[in-house]
Amino acid sequence: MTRAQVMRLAFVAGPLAAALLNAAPAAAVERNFAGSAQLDYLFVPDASSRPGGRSVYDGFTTEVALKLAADVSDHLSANVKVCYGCHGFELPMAYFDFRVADELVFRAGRFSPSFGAFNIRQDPANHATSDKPLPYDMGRMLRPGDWNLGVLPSPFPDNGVEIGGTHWFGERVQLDYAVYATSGFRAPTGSNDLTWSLSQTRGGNMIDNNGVPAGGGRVVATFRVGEGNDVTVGGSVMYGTWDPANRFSYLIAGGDAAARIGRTQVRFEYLVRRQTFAPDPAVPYKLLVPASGEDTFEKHGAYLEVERSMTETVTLLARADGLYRAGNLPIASPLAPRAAVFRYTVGGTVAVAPGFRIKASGELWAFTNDVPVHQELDLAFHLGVVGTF
Amino acid sequence: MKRARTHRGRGLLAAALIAAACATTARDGLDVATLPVEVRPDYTLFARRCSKCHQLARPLGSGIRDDATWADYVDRMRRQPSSGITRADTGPILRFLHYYSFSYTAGRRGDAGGE
Repeated sequence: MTRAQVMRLAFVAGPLAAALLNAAPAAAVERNFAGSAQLDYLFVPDASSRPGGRSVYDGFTTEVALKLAADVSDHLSANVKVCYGCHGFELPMAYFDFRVADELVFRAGRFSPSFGAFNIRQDPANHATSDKPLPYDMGRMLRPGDWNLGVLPSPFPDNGVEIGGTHWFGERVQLDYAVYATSGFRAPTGSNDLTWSLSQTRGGNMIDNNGVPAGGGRVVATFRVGEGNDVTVGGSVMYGTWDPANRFSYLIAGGDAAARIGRTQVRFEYLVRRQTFAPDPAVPYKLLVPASGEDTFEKHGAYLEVERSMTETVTLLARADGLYRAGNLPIASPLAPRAAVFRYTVGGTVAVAPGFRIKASGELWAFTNDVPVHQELDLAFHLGVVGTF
Repeated sequence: MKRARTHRGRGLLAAALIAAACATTARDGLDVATLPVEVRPDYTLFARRCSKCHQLARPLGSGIRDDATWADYVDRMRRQPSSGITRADTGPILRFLHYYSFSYTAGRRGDAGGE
């Protein structure tokens, strides 16, 4: 074992060992078992009419999640969550939290590192639409293959450690922070983009491909305005290398703002991923490849949504979101070096029983290789049910 | 033809929503009017804070029936990033959850048994 490997092992194992050694014996371990399930039907009227054929995962999809949270002691807790969805079984959570104080919590295991505001709401039971905002799309978007999903498909569980905490300044301002080191996203040598499946349980191999951790952090402030309103602003960043030789990198940055005004929630997020890669010399590309052999692309994504509880039973939502990609890509790609997709959504949920809701939404899609002209329009409709327990 | 199909899809969607909305009076939270006057401010605070990230049905349907577990549960939520829950909020929230666990649900069970 090399010195670097020993250091990495110590870095990961240290907080976990400290947590286990320092934890006071609990009189009784408190366990909380919770879960959610969503069944969605996606109807795309023109799903088969594209020249390239069907390019959407329409029809029925199910997402089921079971979560166990255990408070082992006043300072140590554990969380395990198992999901079943489009990729089969997935393990998005399996970690320990060792809490020294509210302001200092060590997390070790498998988890989605703190990035963005949507991360905490990614469970289908915690957002009003059947699908996710495009920057975080994990495969429900139209033409997912052309776009290789969103900027940062959510959830994005990874193995690693995180240090975070929360602190209130008086009764009005809450400040949260997190810094982390994880295995990082990956792709085989010669790839033009990240291979998301290699970060998932179905990738079959949960170890890193280059031995160098990725790192990042998030800071978010929440301001309470009056008794029923609050405003939240946050910023996140993540950096890592994705190839086995650690030659190529990705940098993801994001900013988010949200306001809760009475029964109305307004949310905005913007993400950008800047990535370097080496175009395959045997493949023709749309743009001239730099002499260095290293090329770059950027993928931007944003959403703005307004959600309002109209009554205790009905919630309505309007959302505009999109992706924009700028950079080189193989000549066979249907995307131009500057391409975008826009989506406009209206939808809502209706409670049919406590903890059980119908979700419905309609989406107008616009794809373009001539930004910002809306060149190709598509419609999509979701109808689903979601339950929690 | 395509346009007619699209209109039909949108019509079905709207009809499903409206039908469901009309057919149900279910709610995620509780009807404030059914709560004792002294509990209402605590419930209002609980509803305001705890609906920020998830539906109220989640805690109300959790089946938790003891104060210690509620205290751990609320404390875990308080520590969530951007939770908006202060330490001062936990008192009224726990007071409501105690009432909900021991009086409200017991009353409902009694009602059901008497029917």
